[in-house]
Amino acid sequence: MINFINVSIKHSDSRGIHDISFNIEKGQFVYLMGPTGAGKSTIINSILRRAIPNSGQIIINDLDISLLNNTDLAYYRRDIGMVFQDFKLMDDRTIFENIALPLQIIGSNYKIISEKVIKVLDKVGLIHKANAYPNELSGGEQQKACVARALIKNPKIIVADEPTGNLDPSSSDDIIDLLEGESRLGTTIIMATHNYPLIENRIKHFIELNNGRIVS
Amino acid sequence: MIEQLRFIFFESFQSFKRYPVYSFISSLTIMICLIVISFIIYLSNVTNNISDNFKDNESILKIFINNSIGDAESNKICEDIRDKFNFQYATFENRNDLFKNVDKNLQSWLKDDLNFIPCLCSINIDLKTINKIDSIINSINETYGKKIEKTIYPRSYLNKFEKALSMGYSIIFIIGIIVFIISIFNISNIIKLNIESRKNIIEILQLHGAKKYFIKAPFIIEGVIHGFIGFLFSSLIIFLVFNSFSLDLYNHFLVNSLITTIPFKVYIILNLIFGILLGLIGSNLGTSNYLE
Repeated sequence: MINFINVSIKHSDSRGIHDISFNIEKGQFVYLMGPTGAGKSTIINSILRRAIPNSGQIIINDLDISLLNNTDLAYYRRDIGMVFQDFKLMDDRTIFENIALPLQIIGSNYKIISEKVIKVLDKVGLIHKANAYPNELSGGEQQKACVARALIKNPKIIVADEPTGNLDPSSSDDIIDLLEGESRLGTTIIMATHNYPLIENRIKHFIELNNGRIVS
Repeated sequence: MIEQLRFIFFESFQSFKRYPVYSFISSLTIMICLIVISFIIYLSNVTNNISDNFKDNESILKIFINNSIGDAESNKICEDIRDKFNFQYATFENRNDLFKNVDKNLQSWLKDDLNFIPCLCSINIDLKTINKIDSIINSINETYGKKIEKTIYPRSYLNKFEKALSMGYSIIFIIGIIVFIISIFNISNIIKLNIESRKNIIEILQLHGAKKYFIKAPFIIEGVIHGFIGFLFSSLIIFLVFNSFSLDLYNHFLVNSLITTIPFKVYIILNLIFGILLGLIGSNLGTSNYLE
């Protein structure tokens, strides 16, 4: 499903990842762990192709993503759900509009969009906040909205970059519960975190990084 | 596809609600550019008018006929010159006509002896014959000899005027092009600022698989709408200016030249075209530069 083969990415500040190789199977929930600057976000960004490898190959669903042109990249990203630490919600749009965005991009019918948004809002427990704006929600609720936006397009892969970084323990548990529920339905999930106590009782698969290299 | 188009148009129009300051600044910039462009069009039109009217009024060959020749014979000479040299019009003024133009204070001194005044034959020179004017004057002098007192043609005066006018015309043309280019960059920079404030949204769209056209289109439509709003306001201002001045009260050809001969609707159509072009090119340039 996700195959990194000797991937190296160097940033201008000499950070990055060095000669990373791993393979993640369909439906696995994998935690990327390590301290700040270990290379977790670089791996997440390279899966989203926000970072391009200096060497090595990233094969996702049998596709070398470094070879994608702009149009193919757009189609590729439509199959990936993403959750960010800073939520990346649009402040000038309601929660409903934020969650509907991925479907509007692919040109879904408004009726279908409406049904799906209501369904996913119900799933994450935010149905009563559909018409609220992001700044009217708590951090935990905003992150739930972000998860809902990732789920709405039924992605094959969800990448989550420190999704619990700004949340209290209770909200963090809710978010991981939601992601684990998706994983059980067959979605591959990669979640970067440096909060080991939060996940120690849940962890099944993990990749531990330090200074851009896999340590375990 | 319909849903995508709906989204793009909805986003374009929503931007007025979401970013009213940028929309206002962008429309205002286009409005100012259009007013400047209209003023340049007006200036070039006025320059043209002045050129034509000046030549019509000042390009006159004045032939003073010897004062020993009576009015009737002088008139005959005038008509003869007109026919012989194929001039379209020749205006003859006898002594009494010329006397009327004399200062009123002097009239009482002169009225007893008008014979010293030479009769005047005024010929409007066709613009096509200006180049041959020297040979025409020589021929007239040779043909009529002492019957002609003096011929006057304001050649150097007209030449200087022509030169100044063509220089003025070139300057206006260059300024027009510069203003248009500056306007495009101005609008493109405003759109860039606008995009800069929305880079978070663009990033979200890109991450969710939006194609380039899907990101660009709302900005371009927005630019066109700004162009249209700029056009509406500039047209209103031009309309008010059009109806505020009444220059035809002054009966002098130079003042009359300031009245534009281009109809109001032409200004409006040009404003619409330039407004939409400025919005379109400016926003396209702004988004392309940013997205590259």
